[in-house]
Amino acid sequence: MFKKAASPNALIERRFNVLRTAIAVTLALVIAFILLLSVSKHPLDDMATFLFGPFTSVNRFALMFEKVTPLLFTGVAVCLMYACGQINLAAEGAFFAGAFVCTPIAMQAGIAAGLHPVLCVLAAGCAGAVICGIPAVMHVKLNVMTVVSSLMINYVSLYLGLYLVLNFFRDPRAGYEASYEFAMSARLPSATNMANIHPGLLVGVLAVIFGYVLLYKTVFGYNVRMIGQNKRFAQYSGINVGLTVILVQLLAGFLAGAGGSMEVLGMYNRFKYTGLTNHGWDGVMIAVLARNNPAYVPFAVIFLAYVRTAADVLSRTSEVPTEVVKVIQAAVIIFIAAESLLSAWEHRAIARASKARLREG
Amino acid sequence: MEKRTLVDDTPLGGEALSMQHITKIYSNGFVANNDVTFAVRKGEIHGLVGENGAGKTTLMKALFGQEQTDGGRVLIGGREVKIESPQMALEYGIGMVHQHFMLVQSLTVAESMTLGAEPRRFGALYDFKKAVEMTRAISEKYELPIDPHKRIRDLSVGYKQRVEILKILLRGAKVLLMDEPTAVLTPQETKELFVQLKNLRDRGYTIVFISHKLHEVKEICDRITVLRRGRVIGAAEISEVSEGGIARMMVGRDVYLNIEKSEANPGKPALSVKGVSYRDASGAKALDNVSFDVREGEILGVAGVEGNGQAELSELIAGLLKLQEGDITINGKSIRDMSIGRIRQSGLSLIHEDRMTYGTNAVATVAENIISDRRHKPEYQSRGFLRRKAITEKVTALIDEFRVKCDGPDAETRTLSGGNIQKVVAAREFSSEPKALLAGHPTRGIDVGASELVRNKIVELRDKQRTAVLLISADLSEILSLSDSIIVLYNGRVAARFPDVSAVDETILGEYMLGVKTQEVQSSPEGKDGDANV
Ligand SMILES: Nc1ncnc2c1ncn2[C@@H]1O[C@H](COP(=O)(O)OP(=O)(O)OP(=O)(O)O)[C@@H](O)[C@H]1O
Ligand SMILES: [Mg+2]
Repeated sequence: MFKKAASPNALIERRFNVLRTAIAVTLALVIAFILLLSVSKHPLDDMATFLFGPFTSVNRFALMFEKVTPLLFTGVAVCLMYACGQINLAAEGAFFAGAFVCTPIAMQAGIAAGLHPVLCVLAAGCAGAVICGIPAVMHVKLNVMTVVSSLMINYVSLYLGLYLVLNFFRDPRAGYEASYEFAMSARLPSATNMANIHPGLLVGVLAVIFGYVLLYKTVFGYNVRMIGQNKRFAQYSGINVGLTVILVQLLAGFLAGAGGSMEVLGMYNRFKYTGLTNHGWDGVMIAVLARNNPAYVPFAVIFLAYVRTAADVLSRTSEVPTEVVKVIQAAVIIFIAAESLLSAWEHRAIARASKARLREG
Repeated sequence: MEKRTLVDDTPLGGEALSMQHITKIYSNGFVANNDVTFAVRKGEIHGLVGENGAGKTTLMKALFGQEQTDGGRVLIGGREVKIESPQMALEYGIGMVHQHFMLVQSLTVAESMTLGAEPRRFGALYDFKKAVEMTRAISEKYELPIDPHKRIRDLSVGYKQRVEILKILLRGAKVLLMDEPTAVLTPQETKELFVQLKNLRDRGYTIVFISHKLHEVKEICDRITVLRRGRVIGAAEISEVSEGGIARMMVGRDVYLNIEKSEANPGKPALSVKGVSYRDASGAKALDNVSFDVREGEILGVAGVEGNGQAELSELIAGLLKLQEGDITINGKSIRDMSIGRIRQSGLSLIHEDRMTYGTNAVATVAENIISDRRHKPEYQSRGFLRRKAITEKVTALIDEFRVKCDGPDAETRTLSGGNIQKVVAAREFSSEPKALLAGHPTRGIDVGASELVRNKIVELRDKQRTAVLLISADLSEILSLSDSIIVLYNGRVAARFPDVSAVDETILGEYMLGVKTQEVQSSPEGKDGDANV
């Protein structure tokens, strides 16, 4: 809730936070380069492609933002749940549920264009809330471990979704396993023909702001954070722990589910998923990078999207395998997550500053 | 071990260890130790005293290798050494018993004792039998009996501390750093501890003893060092200084300890406990038909050796435990079906004895800790949004009022010293306009000056807001000086009631606390005068 006062030390701290991230990225890139050296005939060219790939054409840059939208939703969703100390991994299932639940609604013709997507997204959000909410309720009422139940419910969501779509909404003329086409009135139009930059991106940004304000500016968010940091303190203070824990996960599920619907309505003309989409897992990764603070989610998301787009460009324009990129991603996350990195150095700088102040009196 | 012989080879009375020109700066830039020079002779009990936040714990943590210093050196037996970790400190024969214990609740005594140096079978398997043997052997050697099979969570605080002491003795410590060991003990337990410490001293062990209770320091220490705001004010033979003199060195001015307390003028009962019995998870009866009333404008002291039902009693009243038998009412309303939040809203404040688990959220800011019970009040939020400016203002005022030493409302609570964390809890619980205040060890770990402040605040609550105060404390002098009437808990029962405090003293209370005597149980708190039974 409260930012650090702007003392001279806060400045040093800020500098080191930036430095820490920079060093982490640099180290990861060094590893990337070493990998490229071993697999590529033109390591320097490929490295350049990897570093600047998304900037090499407007098209590629736009493609990067296509990846951003869904991750904003799942990132914020996971942040909210983690901030409450709930290791709920059902954002994946909630996203998927949002996608399949909005499908039959999106297929309906004759709903007003402005209203249609709204209905889809609301229904999808509710579906997501159910998926994330079930493990939450099971935890609060029956003391079931959230990690396990939420992991399992992802598969419930997946197979239930596939069953429903393939048995009731499948279009036999599609030529592959997919639903009927969405009505035009339901689709989210793209702002550009180079990539699918649809209104979902804007809603995603709103979700980020909503998540941040909720967590750091409201009493509810305060309750959530206190529970996440010290549950017994929260209880003792009279916070309704059970209710808050359930509410925050319903809310998170809603965001993830809504994200799922906007992704399919913006990107595709039918429901085409045949398996889980990984957006929820990415959300977990993003929440870790963002240290559970929604305000940092956009940075984490853009970073991830950038690396992935760069990887796409690289694999299309050279013979470097995409697997290399996965390794780089993993490396960067490890480095950034290691908060203690550089802390000794940071401490020496602060100590120096303090001693100087002592001498001055 | 070659390292340990550094202390061993020092002759009695020689300098066992010395810290020279130690400076410690925390990562927020706070200078906790500033050019501190501190020496301890072999075979002495050395008192380290100073106000809350003076840097005592920090200095000891630095010696124990838990905090790295930013200047200065450490000599053991005259040789300069670098202690980089607690492991290394133990190798040099230095062990520490922390202000906030560091035991794992679910482990047995034997397992805790050997944690970090587990006996192994076939090089890999944990040898529990051996651990039990080792525990037995060491507890016999030092005449500190303990049951190796008991779980830590089932031990009283005094025994937990014993485990901590035995643990470092087992690891071969010859120098014991004891950070406020008596803060959590009853007078009886303290007496026992002192016997043990003197015993250890006579065997050539060296002890650093931190305490805010100056009479204890006076009683047990051979020499003292006084810290003030991170600097050494001086060191002295204990015979050369009086309690008042020590206090003056600590604070920099004369300290007068007095509680301004007039006769109580109690009104109607505000907090009533009626026939409450409680069985804990293991089925043992923790409370047995306990009844009493605390009236508006009255302070009722609960005396008793820790572990005789006080913890259960306060957790039941606060709603942290569910009522089993009997009833508790606040202002006439039963709390049986109330949530903790409702109980608090109906006017109950609670200083929990465990400030680190319940009392505060260590990783939250001071402000966040202080608003925890009033976050929903209109002064602090409007339409669900926190009113940041108002919060900062109120919290800043409370920090001043309770003299909490910290960087301000936004300081992380973890970075405060033990006593200052306690002040944060007091600041919150006292400022919520309570109808009933449950004060569990309210001055635990707080220095002389601030204790006076806290005690006077309790009296002020009684008089100005007519709060009904239930005071649970291990400190009998605190109970006697604050309470208007007293009950004694023994074995989960009310062993005695003293409606008039002037009729009792520590000796009388002590007899009831240890179960030597019992008054016949009276059903009404306004029963006969206690001294009729003495
Ligand atoms: N991790 C930390 N980060 C920043 N400041 C700290 C940290 N730990 C302690 N301090 C500060 O250092 C000062 C000294 O703390 P320390 O715990 O040594 O005090 P103390 O003398 O043991 O006090 P008490 O009697 O209350 O236990 C305090 O003002 C405290 O705020
Ligand atoms: Mg301390």
